[in-house]
Amino acid sequence: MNLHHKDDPVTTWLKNLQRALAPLPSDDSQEILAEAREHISERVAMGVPPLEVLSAFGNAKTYAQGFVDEYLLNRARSSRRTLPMLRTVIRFAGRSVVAGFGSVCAVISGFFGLWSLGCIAVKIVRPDLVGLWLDFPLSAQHRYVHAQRDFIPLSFGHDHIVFGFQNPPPSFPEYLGLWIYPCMIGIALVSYVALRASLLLAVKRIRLPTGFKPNVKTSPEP
Amino acid sequence: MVSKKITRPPKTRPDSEALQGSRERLRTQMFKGVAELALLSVVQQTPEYGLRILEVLRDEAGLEIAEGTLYPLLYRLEKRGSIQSEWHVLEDASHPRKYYAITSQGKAELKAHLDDWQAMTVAFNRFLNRGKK
Repeated sequence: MNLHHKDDPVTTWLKNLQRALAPLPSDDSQEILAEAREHISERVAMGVPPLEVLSAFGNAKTYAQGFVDEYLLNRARSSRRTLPMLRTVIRFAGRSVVAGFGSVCAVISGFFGLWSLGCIAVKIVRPDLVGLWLDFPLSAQHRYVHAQRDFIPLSFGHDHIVFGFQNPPPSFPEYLGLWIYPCMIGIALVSYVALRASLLLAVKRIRLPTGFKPNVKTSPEP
Repeated sequence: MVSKKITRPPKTRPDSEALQGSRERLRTQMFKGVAELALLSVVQQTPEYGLRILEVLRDEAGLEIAEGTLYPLLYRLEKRGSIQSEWHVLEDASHPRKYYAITSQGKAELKAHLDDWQAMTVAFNRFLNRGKK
């Protein structure tokens, strides 16, 4: 059978495989394609129908996923850069508990990091809207009238303790003043460290399935 | 008052089907654990190419492994440095073939896996056969 006819299933499968291997470096994808082509040719030459050979490989996209997953995981592990690690952890989140947990931790850490940076930015422009407000005694009935709830919450605490961005600012005293900057920078740094730690741990512990088929030939007992 | 007895079909699968499913799952888990050991073992003596590795695993080890799972596993072992590959054109082959050979790192891993496997099977066989004498 001619494997290079444009409409035959093998050619279509190889084209799909080539497309699915696009995230890989060119050398890797070319080798994988050449190896698959060689394997198929050899099996067809042995008399196995092409469709049967292709079914052993499975869907081209699923077959490629094994290589792409491995490549992305290796790249994230070796680069240790935040963005590739984040992308990889999110990619595996639906298939791995570790990656799912790592994604949640990364999102929470990322939120706190962005929150603190956002508060710093607002503090520069409107110093009165960011701070730590305490209404002593904490056991007293609260007197702060809440503004409408923010769509993106930029402050924590209500009633007696308010920390972060609040518009309008509470009427009770603000305690941190300019010390809010080192506080927010500290929170941003801790969030970044937590983000990286959760990503590094997740990337390190993600395990890819081997996919071995358990179809053992059972031989009769001697 | 006449009570009518309603018989509903059992919600669980028939015993033989459930047993078969459970057996399949157990086999899958067991073979996942030995996949790398089997592959490293095939290429430890001489370099082999994918189709030949597949045949050895099927005929000699009894592992019915599909092409779709063999090559990604070889890719993983290669990226990890356990095996290395090289393209060769042999006289009896019409196409160049990619041969995989074990590396020194792979040999060390194979030895460690084998030691673990043998220690585990001896201990586990002893455990499973306890009280059968």
